[in-house]
Parts: sequence; C-alpha cells; structure tokens
Amino acid sequence: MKKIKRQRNSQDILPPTVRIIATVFLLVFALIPVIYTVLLSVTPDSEITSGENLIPSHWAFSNYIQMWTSVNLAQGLFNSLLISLTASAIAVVLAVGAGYVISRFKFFGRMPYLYSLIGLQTVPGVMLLLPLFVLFASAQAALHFKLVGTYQAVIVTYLTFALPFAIWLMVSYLSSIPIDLEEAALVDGATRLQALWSVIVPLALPGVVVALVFSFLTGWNDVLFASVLTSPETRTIAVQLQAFSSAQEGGALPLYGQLMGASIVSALPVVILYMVFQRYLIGGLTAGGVKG
Amino acid sequence: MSIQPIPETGPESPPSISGAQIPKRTSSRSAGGRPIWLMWPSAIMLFVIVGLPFLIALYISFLNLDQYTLRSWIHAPWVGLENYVESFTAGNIVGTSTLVSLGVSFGFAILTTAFITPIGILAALTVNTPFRGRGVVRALYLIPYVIPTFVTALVWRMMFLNKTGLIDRFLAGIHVANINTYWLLGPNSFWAMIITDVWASWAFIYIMVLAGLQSIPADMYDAASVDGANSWQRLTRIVLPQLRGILGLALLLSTLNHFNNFTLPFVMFGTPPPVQVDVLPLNIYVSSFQLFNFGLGGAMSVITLLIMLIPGIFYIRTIRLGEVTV
Amino acid sequence: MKASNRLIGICSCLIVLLPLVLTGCGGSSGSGSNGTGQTLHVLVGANTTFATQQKQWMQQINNEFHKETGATIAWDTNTGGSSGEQTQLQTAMVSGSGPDVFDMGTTFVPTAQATKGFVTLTADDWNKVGGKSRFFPQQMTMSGSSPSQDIAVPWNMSPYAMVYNKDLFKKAGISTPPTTWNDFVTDAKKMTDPSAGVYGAEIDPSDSFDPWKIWWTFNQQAGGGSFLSPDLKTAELNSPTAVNSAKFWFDWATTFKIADPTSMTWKSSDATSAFGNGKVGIMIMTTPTIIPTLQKSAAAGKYAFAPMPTVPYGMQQRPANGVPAATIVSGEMLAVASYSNVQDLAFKFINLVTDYQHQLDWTKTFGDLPANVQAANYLSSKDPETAAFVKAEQNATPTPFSGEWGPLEVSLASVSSKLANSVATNHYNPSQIKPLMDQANQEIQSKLHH
Repeated sequence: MKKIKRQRNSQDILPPTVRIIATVFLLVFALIPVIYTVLLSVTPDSEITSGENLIPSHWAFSNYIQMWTSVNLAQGLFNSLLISLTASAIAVVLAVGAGYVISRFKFFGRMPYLYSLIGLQTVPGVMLLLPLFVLFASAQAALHFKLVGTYQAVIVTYLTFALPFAIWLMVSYLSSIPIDLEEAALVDGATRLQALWSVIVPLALPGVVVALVFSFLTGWNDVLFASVLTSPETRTIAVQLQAFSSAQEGGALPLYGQLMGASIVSALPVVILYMVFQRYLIGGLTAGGVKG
Repeated sequence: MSIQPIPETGPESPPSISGAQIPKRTSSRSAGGRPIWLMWPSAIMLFVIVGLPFLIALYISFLNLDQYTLRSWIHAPWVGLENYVESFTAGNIVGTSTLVSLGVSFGFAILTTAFITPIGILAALTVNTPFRGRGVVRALYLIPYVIPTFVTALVWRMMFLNKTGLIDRFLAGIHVANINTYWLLGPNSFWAMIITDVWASWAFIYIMVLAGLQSIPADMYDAASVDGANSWQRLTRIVLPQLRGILGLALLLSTLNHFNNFTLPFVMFGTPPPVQVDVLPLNIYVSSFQLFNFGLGGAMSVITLLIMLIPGIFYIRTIRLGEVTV
Repeated sequence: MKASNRLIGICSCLIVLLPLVLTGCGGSSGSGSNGTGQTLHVLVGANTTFATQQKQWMQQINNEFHKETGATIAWDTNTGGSSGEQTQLQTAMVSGSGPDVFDMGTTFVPTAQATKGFVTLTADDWNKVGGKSRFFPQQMTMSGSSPSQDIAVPWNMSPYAMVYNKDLFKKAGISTPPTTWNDFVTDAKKMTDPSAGVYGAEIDPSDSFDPWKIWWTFNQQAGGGSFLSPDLKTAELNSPTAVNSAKFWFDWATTFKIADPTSMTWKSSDATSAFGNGKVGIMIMTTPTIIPTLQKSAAAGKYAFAPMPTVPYGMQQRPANGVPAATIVSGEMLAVASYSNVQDLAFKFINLVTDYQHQLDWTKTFGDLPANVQAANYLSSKDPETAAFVKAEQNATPTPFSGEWGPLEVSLASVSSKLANSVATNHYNPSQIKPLMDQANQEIQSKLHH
C-alpha cells in the first residue's frame, strides 16, 4: 500500500491528537460490550455464574450448536425475515404513494393528515396492545377467518406502525425533487403513475432505502405485539429470545452462554443490513429529519 | 431556543428545490389528474391499526376493567375520571403513581439525550474528513445503534450484574468501587438504564450531525482557516451554529423515542421493576397486564399521550411542515 | 385516465388486503363440520430446558389423539413465562377467542375463575376426564372455588421441598436435615464459608414468586394464616407474623449471614445455578422439576431432598394455630375455555394426558409428579425420593381461592424487590418492612372491596 500523505483539511475541526484519542475512546466504548457478549457466548455457563475468571477455561463453542435446539432460532429468524421484509416493502410502496400526493397536491385533509402522522407516532405501543388484539379477534369472528397468529396479522400491524415515519420521510424527500422532471414525462404522455415510477422513485432512491431499512427494524425489534399476535409457527426471533431468557423462571438453569450466542445471531441480520446501506442512511435520514 | 430554517441539501439528495417553489398549477388538475387515492391505503391502515385501537383504549380508560369484567369488556362499569384521579393519587397496587413514573421517564429521556449529544457530535467530527480506515470506523460506530433493543438489554444486564459483571470487575480492578456494587437494584439502576441507552443511541445523534456537517459549505471552513481560527473557535463559531437546526430536531426526536422506550427497561430489569426505573410504559404494562387494572393502565396511557404531544407539537412547528410544501 | 388510475388504486388496496382474505379462506376450510377435520387449540407453557423432548411429546400426543378422535391438536406455547401466560389469557378473555384448553399454574386458577370465561365442570364432565377419583385430592382443592364450581383439572403437581448438598452436610458434620427453622439456621451457619463462596442457605429476593411462597409458608407455620382471611374479605398482609416472615428471610443475608449477601438480584434460577455449582448448602422451596437440571450440574449425585422445616424460628414446636404447610398445593392444571366450540374434544384431550400411562411418561421426561393418584402411588413405590414428595403433597396447604391472589403475588414481589433495594444500597433496616406491608395490605384490601 502506498502511504498517503495527508494534508490537514480545513474541515478538520479536531486537532489530530484529539481526533485519534476520541476515535479510540469511542471505538472502545462501542465495542467492549460487543466483545464481552462474544466472550460470554463461548464461556461455559458455570463459569459465567461463578464469576471467577473473565477468560474461560475452555471455549464452549457447543453453545452455538445447542442453542438451535434450546430455542427455535432458525424458525424465528425465518419468520422475522419474512415478516419484516414483507411489511417494510409494502410500507414503502404505500409511503411513496402517500408522500407523492402530499408533496404535490393541495387537498382537503392534507394538513390534518400530516399532523395526525406525528400524533400517531407519539401513541405508546403498550396502550394499543389489548385493543388491537380485540380488533383482530372481532374481525376474525365477524368474517370467519383466522387472523390472530397468522403472518398477515403481524405484517399488517408492523407495516402500519412503520407508516408514519416512512410517509414523513417520503414527503420530505419527494418535495425536494424538482417538479419539472415529472412534468416533462407527463407532457411525453406518461400517466402520473408511470411518471412516479420511472422518474420520481429512482431519484428518491436514497429516501426509499432509508424508509425500507427503518420499516424493517420496526418489525425486527418488536417484542410486545409479536408476543400476542403470533402463534408458535409464526413467532419472531425477538419473541423467541425473550421467551428463552424468561424461561428460567421455571427453575431451569440460566443458559447465559447460549442466550448470548442467540443474541448475536439475532442481531447479525440487522447489523449486516445497516452496513450494506450505510451510505444511504446518513443522507436519507437527514433529509427526513431535517425537512420532514 | 429558536430553530432556524435548515438548508435542504442532504449529501445524497438531489439539488434541492424547496417545496414552496412548487408551481401553483400542479396543484390544479394538470395532465395525469390528481391521484389522491394513493393516500387511501395508508390512511385506512393507520385508522384501522392505530386509530381504532387508540379510541378503544381511550374508552377503556373510563372503565373499571379488571379480571371480573374482562370477558364482556364493553359492559364494564363506567367510572368516569376515577382512573385518572387514582393514577395520580395512588398509582397501581405496587404503589408507583403516574407522577413518579413521569419523573423517571422525563429524567431518563432528558438525561440520555443530554449525554448522547456531545458524544454524537464528537463522533461525527472524528470521521467528517477522509482518512485511511474511515469507512471501517464509521461502520463500527453504527454497531451499538443497530443491535436490536432486546439484545442490548440482555447484554447490558449481564454487564451490570453485581460481582460477576464486567462493570463491577472493572470498577473493582481500578479500585473505584466495591466488586459487589449493585447496578440492577436501587438508585444505581436508574444510571444503569441511562448508560445502556446512551451506548445504544448515541449513534443517532452521530448520524444526524454527520449528515449536517456534510451540508456545511466548504468555503465557510476555508474562510475561518484564513482568519486563523483555532479548533475550538471553528467548532463554536461555524459548526455548531450551522448544526443548530438539525441538532434541535435530533434532540427532540431522541427525547420522544427515549420517553416511549418500553423494551429496554422491561427486558433489562423484569417486572416488577425497581421504582427508579419504573418508566411510564412499563408502569402501564404492569398495571394492565399483571395487576389486571386495564382502566388504570388506559388512563396512564392517555396521560402519556397528552404529554408526548407537547414535544410533538413543538416538533411540527419546528420543521414547518406547512411552509415546506404548501 | 383518471378512471384507470382509480382502478389501479382499488387494485392496490386489494393486493394489500388479499393475503388476509386468502389465509382466511384457508383457515376456515380446514375445519370441517364433522369431528374428523376438527382442530383443538391447546396452550401449554414452553419448556426450554427440554425443548426437544417437549416437541416430541407434543408430536406423540397429537398422533394418539388423532388416532382416537380423528381431530388434530394445534399447540400453542406461551412466551415470556407467567406474564406471557397471563397476557394470553387476558387477550383470549377480552376477545372471546383463543386456545380451547389452557394450561395454568394452580395459584392462577382463582384469577382465571374470576373471569368467568371457563367451563364449570359438571359431574358428567368429570367423568369424561376419568372421574374425580383419578386425581390427587389435595390438587383438587385448587380446581375451583367450591367442589360444585370446579373449572380446572389437575395435570401434574410439583410439591415443594428443600434440596441439600450431601457433601457440604458431611463436611459440616450434619447427619440429618433440619426440621425446625432454628436448626436450619444453625446447620446453615456450620456450612457457611464465605472465603470459599459457600453459603449454607440462599435467598432470591428478585424472583417474582419465591418471596411470597416462602413468606406465606413462614406465616402459616407461625399461625398467621394465608395473607387473606378465611372468608377472603380481609387482607392480612401486615400482621405481625407476616412482617416477621419477611424479616426472618432477609435475616438470612443480613443478620445470620447464611445466604450470599451479593444475591439481591437473584431469581430462582440463579439460586439453582449456585446450588448446582456446589456453593449452596440447602436450597428451599424447590420442586422435583429441577432433578433433571441438577443431574447435568456439578452437584449431580451429591444432592438429596427433604421436607422443609415446619417449626417457626425461635420456637421449639409449632403454635397451636400453626399449619405445617410443608408445601403449597402447586402444579399445573388444565381448563377449558367457555367460548370453545370443541369442548368435547377438549375433555378427551384432558382425559388422554391425565391417564395412568401418559402421566408416568410425563414424569419420566419432565420431572413433575403425576396428578394421577394411581401413577403417583406407583412411582412412590419405586423410588423413595418420589415417595417423600408424594407424602409431602398429602399434607399440602392450598393458597386462598381469591381472584385477587394474582395481584397479591405481584404486590409481595414488589415488597421483596424494595427490601432487596435497601439491602443492596446498605440502607436496610427491618423496620422498613411494616410500612411496605401496610401499603400492600391497603391496596389489596381496596381491591377486595371492589
């Protein structure tokens, strides 16, 4: 590697030494719990609870094998992926539609709608748990089909929870895209939808990606709703893990090593997702935060 | 604190044209019509999945809904504002009233935000300009933020265990505290919760500030360099004023998010939690689902909502939704 | 063009809603009108210690059930322990839909009965599940508020006892397990060696259930009753004996120093794990359920069970009004939801899992004792350890059958957690107990009046 000679940039606010110290400090702060988790995940349980040595006497890699049977990790991962991906995809499609209309047209109910998006974001989730279940159950009884415990019920719930932020992001993003571009397309004979799809969406891609990622996380992170809306077949990884950690109530030995291993596995998909889309996130998020 | 209108350009967004400049004619019927229906699916879903349950919860907050009346909840006795009064005077049977939980929630939300702000700014400044390995550092900075909350809570519970956890080992190692310092009980638990949330969320401020930094025109820095301003002067005279808008919003959003954080204390401390970490959402959960007092839980929820609306309204005014697009 | 747009809009709405409708059809077509196509939904607690075994057991029961009735079982396991159990019951009651059969702990039955959402068992119903005589009589005391108002059928039982480390006993020169709490403290002191991290006893004040169970037992033995008056109308949480019960337990860590002073955050699993590591001499309030767990620990083969002491601390014999309360009537029961439209199948299921052979199989795999008398007798004739538990169960004392018992448990857990807070911060003083119990008493009393 060629050594790059660095000239001090006028945008460097921090003096080089401060910058290095700060970077190291922040990295240590950020990573120590992660490293500790990895360490615990390969420590035999008896050594975690006795707390004698930090470094285990032997590496208990078997934790990573046993945990797949102790807790239904594989199915949880599959369910979480399926639910979160579907929910975020639909949420983004709906948000693009709503965001487009709101950013382009004046109509009755537009401002109330925008305001209510913010209002809805402040509703505490715990408050909705029981009523939402009542609603699903009543719909189930009235329409004679199974709803509670199906993928659909959870997907619809998560996608709706993701909507306010996603719409918001899209409103701010789309309103920064020059109107001339789509007008040109309209003049060329495209329909509104064609113009939206072929002109606007590609331009708004960073925003779309951010909306997608954040919507995905809404589903991935939830413990509360999934615990009553899912059945064993549709249970998400978050609930599996929560059940695993609280199962010790029954007098079972705490399986800390496996718990930490399972935690790592369940965090991995999200970490990868973020890393892949990191570039978009910073741009997309500010646009949403700043203007939306 | 007044928040300035913010420069619209994000690094990834196209050259900006403020919505205010949308030509009037587009809002009339032009080619392609007005596909207002694009809004319907989202509006309907929000109404059904959030709006209706919210109205039901509001109704429940006026009922005496417990294990005896749960089965025919629609006919549960109407008690008016009794639940609201009870929530302030007595609280649930564990004895934590709304006021106590409000204090905990506010303290938690505000302190966490106060701590993550300088950390986030500092982090953004360290990776604002290119250096070898910047991509890696940026990615590593994000890790705590992207780890799901329930995992964060489990991990930090292990970190904070007295005697065997990493924190106590470290503090005892440097002779600051007894190896058997309790972090998951007593007043320390409040700080344990804050430290955990600071770890998990500073990257939010970092992301916002980083994006804000990149929208500061380079010539502003150059001018300052020519003037011979030192690091501190450049930070306080150029960077912070330019970031004021975005920071204000980041702080508001952050406070809102922390206020509503249920998963972290729930997984980290279990139920019933130490009173020092009995945040409102957790109190609502315990009152409703463990003590079967759904009316009381409903009343606490409505109170939470009303309180949350204050920063919410502030937020709406700040971002000037109306101005941007109409 | 406008019209076509609207069409697309409607289509997109349909696309969103279509999956819902589709599964709906799929779901309803699954259940035919005759008995063979029917599905029985059963909610049981998830067992993570024996996850694989539980899955196999479910599969096996399902096969047999299908052979017998032509119907299938859809298993639902509750998540999040007892709070998950509660949430699932609440959502089911409030919506009138959910599992057909609920598995619940004995002390939760009164709360379940308060919802009036479960089938009251008629004599005919009892016959469908093998008759009342099939079950352990003590367990039946928690079946319902009165013999004519039963809602729950005993499934398995987990009588409480204490488990001790034989090696530590030998080292301290203790020949027989203590039968009075005085002896208990003395013996525990002999075994305690803080430098080795070994303590004669343990406490787990952050557990959600152990504190109330232990205090309740102390209180019963001292003649203080069961926290509620016999007519279930008066709360008695702040009586002198009740306050003393809590004090005596915390004394183990604070005064006698026979329990690890660093254990304030412990839940029962932490105590089990310390016992498994050979760091605890006697662990009280434990059940045969932990045998398979201990077998896998370092204490394997070094432990034995004994009944908990029944003579209060500071006394040579139990006061006249004291109750031995060797164990609480404890275990799992099965109840049928009244909204269920396959109640006959539900009873057939209960009949299946409570019969002699299935009860024996259950114990072999999971460790709990059978609630089936015949099976329990067979097991105790085979194994003295089981015999001790079965004998303890014959003297078991039921907890009050009150719909407020669930909240009462939570309020005592909260008192314990607050006291643990004080100990953890070195502010503990036994005088703090009375005000906390007063407050808990007042809150429970106000709920009883409702």
